Amino acid sequence: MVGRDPEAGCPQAIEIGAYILGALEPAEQEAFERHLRGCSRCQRNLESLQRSVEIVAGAVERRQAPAELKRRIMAAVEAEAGPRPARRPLSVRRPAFVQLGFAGAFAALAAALFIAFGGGTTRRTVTVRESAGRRGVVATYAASVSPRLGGATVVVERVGDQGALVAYNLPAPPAGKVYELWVAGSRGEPQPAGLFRPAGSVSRVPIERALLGVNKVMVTVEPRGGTLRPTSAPLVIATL
Amino acid sequence: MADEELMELVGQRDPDAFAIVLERHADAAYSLAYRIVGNNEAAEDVLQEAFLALWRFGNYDRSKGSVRTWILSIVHNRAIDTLRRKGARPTQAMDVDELLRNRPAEERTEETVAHRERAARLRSALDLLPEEQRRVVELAYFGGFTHAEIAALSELPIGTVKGRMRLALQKLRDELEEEVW
Repeated sequence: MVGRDPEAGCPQAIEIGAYILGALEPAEQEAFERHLRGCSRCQRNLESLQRSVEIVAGAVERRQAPAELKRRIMAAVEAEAGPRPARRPLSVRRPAFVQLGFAGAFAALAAALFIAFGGGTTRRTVTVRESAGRRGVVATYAASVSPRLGGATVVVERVGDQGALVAYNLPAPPAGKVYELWVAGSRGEPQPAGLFRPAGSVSRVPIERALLGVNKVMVTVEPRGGTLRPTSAPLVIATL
Repeated sequence: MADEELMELVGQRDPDAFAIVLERHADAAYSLAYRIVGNNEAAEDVLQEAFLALWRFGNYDRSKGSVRTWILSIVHNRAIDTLRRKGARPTQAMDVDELLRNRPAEERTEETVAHRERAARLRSALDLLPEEQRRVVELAYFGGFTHAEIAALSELPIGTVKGRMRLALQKLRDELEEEVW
């Protein structure tokens, strides 16, 4: 039974717990976020309750993150950060493959093949086995990229039914817009698979949908917050 | 250096600052990811995705709470996405206790005494919640179920589920604010 709540002060406040716990449907979440922007009561209520989530999160059995995992993350970060003149005065080249990490290395390789074979609609597939053997086979697909993206290079990496889009030199989307990822099978409409804005010269974006039955990964420019259906033509198309 | 200052440096693409943030929060983040996805490999993938997203797109905003809360929210979202991608989500009424018991079996790892004690305090705070409130919190936060799914599973009106979620968070805040923080 839900009792009377003196803290509520707003009919929409009932949504706050579900919002904080991530239990709203996407459309409800968007609607509540729109409401939040104009409701100072709910903003205060949200702020005071957010800390409770840290309590819930902290109540789990404590585990140590594997050292090898932290090294892998730092290797990717160092590669993307690029050379640091104060510490590596001679380093003016792209980071070595060993610094990029295996997946990044093959993304770069696929990008190089893509460029070498003329780009445009040419598609080259590089299928390799990762040396660590933990994630299995990585397939990398070079994407066709619209000239509007100013010479950006994009590849899609796939491991089983999981995938990520890796973009090199992708320009920032126009103000108020984001890039939206889409996946599509041979039938049916494209399904939204994540939003992103490029950060730096290399962006690696996990595809937020399983790739089973998917044969195309696309990118469009959409209003901030994304859409449920594409509202513009794809600027990137990768055929898997 | 405080987390907030480190995050400003991370925003300027400083990998050394990022390394400190990673070291400070990786264990808590990994523990949460493991609790949700239930195995080492998936938890590692979640952590890698989450921290790289933080590096690439992370614009920390102090209004979102502490850096740790913010990082845990990113990890939580990624872990729940992973869980949901795995599919097979029950939609009809069933024994929710059974559902929680059937979460993937946890593997044993070493815990430091301090961490064990803190986690135990927080767990006991969760246990202090009325059963029906604790259940909706765990199903939502660790199970990745939406309020509508929890309502269907528990055969409760949606408004009741939402109300329990909010009441639970209020109680946690009120009961633990002075004791834990």
